[in-house]
Amino acid sequence: MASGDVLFFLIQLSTLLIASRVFGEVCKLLKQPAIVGEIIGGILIGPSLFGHFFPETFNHLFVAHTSASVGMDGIYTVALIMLLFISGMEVELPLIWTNGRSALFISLVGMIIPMGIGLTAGWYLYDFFGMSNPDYKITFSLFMGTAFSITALPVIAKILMDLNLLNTKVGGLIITSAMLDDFAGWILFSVTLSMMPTSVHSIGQPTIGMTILLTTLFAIVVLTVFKFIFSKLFSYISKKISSPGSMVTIAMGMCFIGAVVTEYLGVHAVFGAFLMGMAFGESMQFTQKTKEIIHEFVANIFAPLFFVSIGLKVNFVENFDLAILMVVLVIAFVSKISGGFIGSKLGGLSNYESLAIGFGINARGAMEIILGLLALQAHIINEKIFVALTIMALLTSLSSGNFIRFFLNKDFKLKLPKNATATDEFNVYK
Amino acid sequence: MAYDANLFLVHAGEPDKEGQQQLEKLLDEMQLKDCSKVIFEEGNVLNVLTALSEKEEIDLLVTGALKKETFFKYYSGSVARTLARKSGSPILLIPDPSNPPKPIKKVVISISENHPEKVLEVGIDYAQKAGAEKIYVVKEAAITTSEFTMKRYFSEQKSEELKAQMDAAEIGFIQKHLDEIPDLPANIEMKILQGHSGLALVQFTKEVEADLLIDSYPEFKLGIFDRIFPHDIEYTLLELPCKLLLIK
Repeated sequence: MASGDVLFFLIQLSTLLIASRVFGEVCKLLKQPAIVGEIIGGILIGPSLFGHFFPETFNHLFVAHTSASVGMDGIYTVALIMLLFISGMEVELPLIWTNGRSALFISLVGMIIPMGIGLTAGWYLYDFFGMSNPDYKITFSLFMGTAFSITALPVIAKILMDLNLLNTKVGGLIITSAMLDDFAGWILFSVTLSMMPTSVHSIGQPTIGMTILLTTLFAIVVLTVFKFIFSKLFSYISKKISSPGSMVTIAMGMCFIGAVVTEYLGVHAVFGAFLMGMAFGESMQFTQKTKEIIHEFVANIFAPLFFVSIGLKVNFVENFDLAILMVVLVIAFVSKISGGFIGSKLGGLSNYESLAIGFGINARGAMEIILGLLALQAHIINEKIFVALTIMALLTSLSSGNFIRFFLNKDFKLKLPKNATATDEFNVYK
Repeated sequence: MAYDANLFLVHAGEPDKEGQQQLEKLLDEMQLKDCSKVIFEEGNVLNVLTALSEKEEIDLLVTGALKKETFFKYYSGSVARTLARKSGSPILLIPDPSNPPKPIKKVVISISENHPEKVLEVGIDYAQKAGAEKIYVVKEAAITTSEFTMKRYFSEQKSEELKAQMDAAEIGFIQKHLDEIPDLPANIEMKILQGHSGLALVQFTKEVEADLLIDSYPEFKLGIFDRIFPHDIEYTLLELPCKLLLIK
């Protein structure tokens, strides 16, 4: 990188970091998720606004210096991989079967219904969404199914903490279902990517079946043999080195190796990172302290950089299509809420609890945006759909909390005896 | 002797007169001959022990166990671990038997929604009789507070407030059950653990270098799937941090 490129690389990096922090903090002050501020920050300094009014300055700062942009793209990729690594770290699949049949019904029905509706909409509304290449129709439909069925864990945890519902039955069910949806969503997306007609597979031209088989094998190895070997290795290493920082280095190294393998197999690098995150999250020597260090720099540096960069990559004004947005919103709300509601009813919950859970798992948050961006980069969707999906992710996340509160209040009034105390209010949902 | 219990020493396999004599001599030296019985029985270890547990209404199975199993042994299931998963009886696994026995100074008692009053009552009694200097009564948070969410969405002060608020509810659960125990010893410390269910418990037990971990017997029958995606007691069985007593 030439000196001039280094200069612009650093200008871009510092601008994005500061913008993401400033707008993120403003949203926190307004009691809204930081991701909303970060994306708005990106839109403001990106082509949608700053680039629109000051095109020359925008081009000079963010576009003209190719090497600087390539460097920044590298950082975004690393950020994305690390985001998925910590997403994997937080997945605790056994919660599904320890939480009983309610969690299983909510997770499964809450995924199957949006998947079915999304897939059908993708197939029949292919032209309406502005897609034209018939070769991509199956992949596109599969992606739409996945996009509507996914749920975002971090933003849901935030909403439940705001409402003081995290440690309650309803909160537990929402979190557990979100975990499974997250896990299943990334598997589905990996399959979708491997089906792309133009996807270049590094191991030659394997069939879709071969790619899926190899990826499944890799997942099994990571979640069984790998976990066992690394438990032994970590046990040895932890006796030789004391600092949790050293464990962070090893974990990050393994995270990137996992990413390399899945990228090599023809599915995206993020899936390998997600699997490695799951394996490390369950590792005995990987303590809370080590996890905190990783969370610290991903939450404060890489996540904000990634989300602010979205507004920089896509012109939200030019690609805003009200008709597409409305269709996406209707499908998103109807499919996920009905899926969550039916699943909860099958699991034996009351009508209001089921509605609260439906709205809870409706929060798509960061996962939807990540999924959308990857699909955009893989040419599965166009920019108009990406903009609609991003707005849908933000709206579903912003609306969830209020709906959960509204329906649980209704449920609470039905269940609580007339002489109830404030403590009873908490215990009702335990 | 502190428990005034009858002792059954069981060997499943070929009858071995020499071994039997050695055991009886040892019991004599330890003045345990009057309250003990040596049994040599042919057959599968698990079947022999399970049948004996039922027949003699055994209160506690005591068995040695490897701290860590090999990869295949872990997934196929060793005798000690299979007993812990399936015997149906309370069990004490001793990973590092020594002579003289290592004193039990620190005890971790883990309680959950699975009959906490019984685990506390028996656990504290056992710890006191073993002469424990410190007893940690711990509970794993029902849902882990996501660190990523905390750091992304809340200020440091708000995070601390939220954590304290959630811990308070869990501490209240422990305190409620502790209050029901008469003559509670003073050396008890309560702690709420964050992390994957089961994993956080093992990590804490290792961190405080406990000599004994007391937990409830698994609520569900555990199978191969629970070993592939470990949870709760499976994490402890994956790598025994110290002696393990499972209470039913």
